Amino acid sequence: MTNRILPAGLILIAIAIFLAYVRPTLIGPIAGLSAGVDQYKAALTAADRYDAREAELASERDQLAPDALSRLTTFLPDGVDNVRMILDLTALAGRSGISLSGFSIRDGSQSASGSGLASGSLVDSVDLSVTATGTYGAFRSFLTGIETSLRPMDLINLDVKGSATGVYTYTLTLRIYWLR
Amino acid sequence: MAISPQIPTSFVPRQPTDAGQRRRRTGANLFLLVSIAILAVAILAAGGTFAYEKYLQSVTTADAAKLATAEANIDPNTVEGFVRLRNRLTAAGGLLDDHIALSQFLTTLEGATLSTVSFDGLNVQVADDRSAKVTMTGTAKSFNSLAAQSAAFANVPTIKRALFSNFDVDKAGLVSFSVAFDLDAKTVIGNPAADAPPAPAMASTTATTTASTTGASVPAPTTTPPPPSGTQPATPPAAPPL
Repeated sequence: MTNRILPAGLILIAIAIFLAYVRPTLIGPIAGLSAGVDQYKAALTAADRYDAREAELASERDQLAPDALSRLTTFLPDGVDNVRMILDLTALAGRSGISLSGFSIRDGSQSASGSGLASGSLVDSVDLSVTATGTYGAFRSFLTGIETSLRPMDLINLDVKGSATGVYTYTLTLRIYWLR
Repeated sequence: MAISPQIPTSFVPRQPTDAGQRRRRTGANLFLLVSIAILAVAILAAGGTFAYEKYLQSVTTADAAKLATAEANIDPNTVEGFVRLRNRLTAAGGLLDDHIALSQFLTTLEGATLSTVSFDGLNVQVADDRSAKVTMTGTAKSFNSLAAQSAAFANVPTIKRALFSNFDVDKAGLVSFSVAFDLDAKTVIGNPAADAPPAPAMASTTATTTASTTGASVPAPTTTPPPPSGTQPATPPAAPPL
């Protein structure tokens, strides 16, 4: 009888160890820790990919000439900077033989036709209205200067009134963009 | 004489052997050994589980430290710089693709205007899709000239649905009119450099930004380019050409 009780007791102890510690630990803390380790591994892999991508992008950016980057920033600045734009337009008009007056600014999103920019657009815009006076040839020269300006301006509205003197009045609405 | 097998060879009584009892003792020992083995396995499993848990904890701690270091090495300004550069390049491409250059339209208009017709008023409104609506007022030498002008506009593919209206004939026989038409986006979008007269460079009034805001480095012309002869009215220039 005793010879059978001892082995049975040992087996019960073994079962108790398995049920009370091994199994709960495996499906509890160890499973959680294992999942956490997997997440850390994934995050570290992503961090490695980020480092590689950052180095790749930095290399590509460094291949761009600083002057090109500067021109790109001028092309699409971080802000509207409409005062400097007006100064530039006035200077251009002076060289073209055009006189400017009556500058007004309106938010591009509030214009009658809408800004033409999607809601997820990367740029914002304002509409700059100005009245110009000069000959047709001077205006063409001025217009070409606007169209070939490094900072893009879209002439969305043009109104020309003739006169007997050959000097016309031009009302322009220019849309100016900047990076949102 | 042979001894019969039924006759015992010895008078000493012998104890009967109990083979069955020895077999029961061996089975009990085997059961004990198996139970000990099972217990040993259970103890080893518990130890292994404990050790594995500690190992995972140490790995987690080490990985957390590595991740914290990796996160600390990420410069938000660098990321922001890359994002803005990408956005700037993307947006710049879109703006260039849709850049409005009405010089092309004016050049087209100059080429399509007859010498017997002149315009004294022009309005161009560009829609978001880069199509445009044009309204013009002008004067023609005669109705025949006006008909020829209508045919000339009809021959320009980018001028759509030209509609002449508001006719009036003055004492000199000149026909005043208005015309409205739509412009194809191809006429509105594009590069004006190919067919436009030289333009003075747009520059800042300050020297520091002259280079940065200059798009065309063409020197300013000493004289303004004359309008094409097609826009010069044959009749006295009561209505100057545009």
